[in-house]
Amino acid sequence: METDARLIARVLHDDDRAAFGELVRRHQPLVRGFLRRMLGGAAELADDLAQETFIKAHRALRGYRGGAQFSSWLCAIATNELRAEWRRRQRRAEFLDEEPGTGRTEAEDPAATRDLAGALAALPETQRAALVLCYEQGLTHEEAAVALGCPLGTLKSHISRGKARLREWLGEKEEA
Amino acid sequence: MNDEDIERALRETALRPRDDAFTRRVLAALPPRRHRHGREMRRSVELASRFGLASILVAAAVRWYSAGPGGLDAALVLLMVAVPAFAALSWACGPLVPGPIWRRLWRSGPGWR
Repeated sequence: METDARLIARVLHDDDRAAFGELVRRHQPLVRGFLRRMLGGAAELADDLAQETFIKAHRALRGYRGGAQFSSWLCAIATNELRAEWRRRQRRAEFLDEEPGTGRTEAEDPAATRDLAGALAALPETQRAALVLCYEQGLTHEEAAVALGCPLGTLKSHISRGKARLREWLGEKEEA
Repeated sequence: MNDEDIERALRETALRPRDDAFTRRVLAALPPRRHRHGREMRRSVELASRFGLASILVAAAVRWYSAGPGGLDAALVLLMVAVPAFAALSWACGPLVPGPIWRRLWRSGPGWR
């Protein structure tokens, strides 16, 4: 199997679409899974953002220096897309005088936190992103920190707080 | 539920969608392919344009020299005009003589450089 670096070289040198297709095929579970979870399971919107992520990656591939893992670099682009989507929602909500949705269910609603997916969706975005990247998608802490554009210590703190909340909510469920 | 249970549950419920339709969708949305030999073609056009400019300069100089009285004075005046014109064009459009040829011409001289 060709390495990511070899495929990237083929895309850059020959504009090889098959090589880029292989990169998309290889990394789509990570990008789509991450975005889908961050958007509370909204598959269609998540796939739109994932598509935009890959198109931007193709455009910016010449700027990829190989310092970080390609997967972290892709996740960083996906995170930017996600933040842009949330900003759009915020503006729309301000315009319509509504509550902006961030793919997050209300933490105050106990029913929302009865299962893991619901509890995860109720976490603040930064904590949810850190947990999803590190445990669901299997990135190392260093890779997840690059993807989220935050220092390693901050990422660890998000993970720790996120786990504490999940423990609390899911523990309550077990007691009930 | 402890930390390990949470980590395991997260791994087990991971969303990892993969299908060829998505790959095709991304490939279809990419900008059109750039020409495989685009860079080489652009380079050829550039070189041909510079060669054309250099030829115009030489032709004008020869015409002016042959139309005038000729002699060393005329050649000197011609050089005084042609050399700055050559330099200005090279500065504005890139080297009028390709690097390897220029170096070969320069090295084949008497070696006073």
